[in-house]
Amino acid sequence: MNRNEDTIVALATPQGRGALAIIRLSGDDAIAIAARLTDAPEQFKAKKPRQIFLTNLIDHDGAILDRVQCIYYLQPHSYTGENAVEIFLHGSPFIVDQAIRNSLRCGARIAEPGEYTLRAFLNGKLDLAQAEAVADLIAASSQAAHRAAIAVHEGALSRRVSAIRKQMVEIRSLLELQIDFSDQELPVIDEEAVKRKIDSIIQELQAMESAYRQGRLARDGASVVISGKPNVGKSTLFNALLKEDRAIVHERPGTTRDTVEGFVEWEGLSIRLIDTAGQDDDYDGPDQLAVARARTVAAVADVVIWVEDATAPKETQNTPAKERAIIVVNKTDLIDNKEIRNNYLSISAQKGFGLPELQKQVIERLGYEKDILFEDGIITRQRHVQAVTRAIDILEGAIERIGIKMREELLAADLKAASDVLGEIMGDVSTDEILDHIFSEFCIGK
Amino acid sequence: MSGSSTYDLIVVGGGHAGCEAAGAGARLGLHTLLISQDLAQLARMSCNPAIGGLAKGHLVREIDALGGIMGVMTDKAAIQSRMLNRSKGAAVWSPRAQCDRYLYTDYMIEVLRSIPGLNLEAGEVIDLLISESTVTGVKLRSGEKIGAKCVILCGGTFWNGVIHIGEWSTAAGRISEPPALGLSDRLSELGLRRLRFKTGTPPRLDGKTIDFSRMDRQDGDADPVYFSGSPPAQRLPQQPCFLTYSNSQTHDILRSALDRSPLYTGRIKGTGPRYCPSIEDKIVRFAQRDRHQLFLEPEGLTTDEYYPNGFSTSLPEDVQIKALRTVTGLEDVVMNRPGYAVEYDVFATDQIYLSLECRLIKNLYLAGQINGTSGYEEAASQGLMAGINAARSIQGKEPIVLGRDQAYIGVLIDDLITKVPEEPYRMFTSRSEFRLLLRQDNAGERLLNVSKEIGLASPEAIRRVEASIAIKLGLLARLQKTKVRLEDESVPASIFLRRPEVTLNGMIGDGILPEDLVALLAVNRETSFQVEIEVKYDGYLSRERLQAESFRRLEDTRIPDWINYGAIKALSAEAKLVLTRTRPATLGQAKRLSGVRSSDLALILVMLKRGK
Repeated sequence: MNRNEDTIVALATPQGRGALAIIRLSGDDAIAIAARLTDAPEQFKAKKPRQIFLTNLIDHDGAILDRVQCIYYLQPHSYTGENAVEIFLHGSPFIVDQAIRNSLRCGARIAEPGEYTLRAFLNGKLDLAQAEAVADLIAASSQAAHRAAIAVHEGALSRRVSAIRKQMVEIRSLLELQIDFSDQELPVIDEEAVKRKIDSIIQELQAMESAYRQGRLARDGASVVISGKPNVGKSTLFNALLKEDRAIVHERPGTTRDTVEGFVEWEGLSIRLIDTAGQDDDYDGPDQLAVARARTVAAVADVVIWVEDATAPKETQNTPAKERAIIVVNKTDLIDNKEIRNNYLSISAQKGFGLPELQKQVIERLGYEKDILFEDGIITRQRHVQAVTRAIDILEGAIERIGIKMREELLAADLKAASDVLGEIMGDVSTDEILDHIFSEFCIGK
Repeated sequence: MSGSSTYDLIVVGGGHAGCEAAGAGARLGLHTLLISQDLAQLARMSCNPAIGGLAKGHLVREIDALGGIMGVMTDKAAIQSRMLNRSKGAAVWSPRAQCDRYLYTDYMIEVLRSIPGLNLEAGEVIDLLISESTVTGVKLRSGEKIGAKCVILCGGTFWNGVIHIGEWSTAAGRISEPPALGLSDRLSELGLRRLRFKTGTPPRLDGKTIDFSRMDRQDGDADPVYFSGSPPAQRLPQQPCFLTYSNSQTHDILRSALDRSPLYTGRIKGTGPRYCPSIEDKIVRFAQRDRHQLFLEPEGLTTDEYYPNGFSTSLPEDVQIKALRTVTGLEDVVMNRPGYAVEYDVFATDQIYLSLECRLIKNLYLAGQINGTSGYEEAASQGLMAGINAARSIQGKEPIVLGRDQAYIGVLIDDLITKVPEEPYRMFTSRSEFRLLLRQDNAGERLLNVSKEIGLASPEAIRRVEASIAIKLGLLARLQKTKVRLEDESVPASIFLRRPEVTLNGMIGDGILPEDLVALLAVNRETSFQVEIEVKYDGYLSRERLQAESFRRLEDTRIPDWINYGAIKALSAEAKLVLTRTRPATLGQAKRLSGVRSSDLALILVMLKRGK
């Protein structure tokens, strides 16, 4: 009746050809099944858990399939908390495919998406925030994303939230004492002290909330959109920043219609660069649509780089995108005098002048703090920051009401509500929806 | 059946649980027998002569809303009524009444005797008649066997009771009353797990020897809030209570005698309540306190006896009197009888269902102190529910289980089953997740539907609640429509009332409400009070209602019988044990079991989703 006792198998490394591939088995029969895949099953008895050893994988007809390294874990001392085996094969799709088929023949089944982590969660090896961090860890495409995910995975966020909730419990117990034992001789409650304690909790939560921007930047990276009039050299700048010829560059205005994207890593941060169509209000037809799209993309970007042409007449009109943009003047290599718009950053996308300075300004504009300590428990998820914001709202309301008249039972209700909301981060109030949502994000093998 | 007679229901024990159980069973149509060692001691207040108080007052109002007896008795026997926590918000107000303990018992006997189909019999039940894991009757010490379809056990502190005073101890259920032997051992032989609890009571004092002039007098409310929807036409003469304090001299005497305390010499093995420590416990644990409060409660109108609340002790008699005489106003006090501690058997409550029926033996119900609770109100609540559910079982109906979001009684019984008490269990408002919704003033409204389904409350009582709800809705609508003119704007009265500094009385006093509305409010005083709460706390109440709804979702997810926790390897060992033992009916209940972590819960959830 219990499917969790099944043994699951999956490829833990990316599909395709590579130097190595890793197959993982987890479940009651993981070791027995793995043993049947090799030509020397007795090794699994002779070797200790967590000890790596060499063996031969055999095919179902008994022929040697591959020379592999093996390691096994006994429950609960594995990632999933179950018996588990990792087999390091040569990265040939054929070998991998055969090995997995053979393990299915021996009684394993293919893992569902996220099933490894689900099992780890269900076996109490990970809490909800940690489980989410695993998904982030897998998806981490930049150094910063990796650091943030590792910190959450190690439980930094859970620890920080627990500490805050503990402070709330302490205040609540003071209040409950006043309510439930008021027929006894009690010390008078120090309203100012209670207020100070709640204030400091709010500050702590606010610090977490504002650090979310850092957490989000680290996790998701940032989008940087290149905007400007037609033919000012946006695509040239895009290619220069990307260090490859991605966008088509042509002297004819309006060469770029669809947005073109590329990824770069600046200061450890993953940046999605987006080249857009030149914006000219006189366009019509498909060009007009391209302009509309360019404007939409710019509106939701984290940073907009507005490019102007040093050789063209000075622009007078401001567009919404331009107002919040970093304005650069391009093609400065084509003019002699240095009297050009000195408030703005001068660059030459063609020659690569001023590009390091532009990168620096983008990072500054993003407000990214390179040295932030993710070990302090930075939140990287929308779900988390929503919980923190709701808790702050509740507590601020409480502080306001204490100012008028302290009502122990209402303050206690506020603290309980705020604490419940924060508990959702760790999955204390785990509901179907939260679990479903989270585990659907995992890819097979983790 | 070898018994000479047969009943539908036999209730064993005539304390607060037993009286409610027998009363409910008989009034729901069961031919009922109540057996007690001493019929003159029915519903005796073994400890302090007061009913209600913080959180307990809520229980009594709920008992009344469901058609139980305790609220009516308390209103009749009250010699001082007081609303506690008035300085706090209305959600945590709690009514308390000092009672004449003798009248309370007299009234209870009178009421029980008046119920058709209810017989009272003096005797001691020493064994159960059981056939095929189903109880079929009881056996008395006299040898008589009596058959019954259902049996409710309400043993109080009598099961293998042992009383301690200093180095002296004796087998007793209450002082000078013999213990009940046999039943506890029989249940234990049948395989039920038992624990040993301890509780205590202070000495009783002769009021003629007390100098009340040197104490602080505390009177009741002039205009009391009653527990019952149908209060008595006339109140008994009202009596004051008095406050005095121990001092360092008192503490020195107590401390010097600790080596003769059964608590500290290890004679007492049972677990006592942390929230109600003995005076010797208080001076040890709170050594820095230079005084402790003593609250002197009158025992009745026809007696001079006083009950010094806060001075529970099991120290030797000579130490008790010596220490008491150092207290202001008690310099010449005479002790009518000493304080004592009592140890008694209780049965772990993960062995009963939410209906209070025993899991192991069908048709057998356990209620009151044997379930590890303390307090008259907690006992009466369980007795009432056991009586109701025994009747429903016989009548082929589903048991009534009150939700935690519905009643403190629901909180009480759910707590008992999901967290087996490790000390005598007392109700606190902080035990409820929905404190603002579960108020003493709205017990009738909260429980109206379930009360109708049970059918114990009189038709008049039901009509009264329905009328009150209608009036409340009317008043709320009027307050929304009535405009109040402020300096430069005019706002609905209901919005104005939300301001923290504004009260309904204040608005009436300021003459800003129309006269007919003022008259309406004045006539329906208690309903007006509810209206004020609902307007002022609107935001909080809405939030709690939302929380209650999400709570309901887990609560309504039933865990089917096919779940075999032993086979779910991934469950933590502790969770496996507690889940197998308790077999929670719903996911919500599983969540509250101590030892069940959120990952255990998630695992059950996944199992439910995946099916067999």
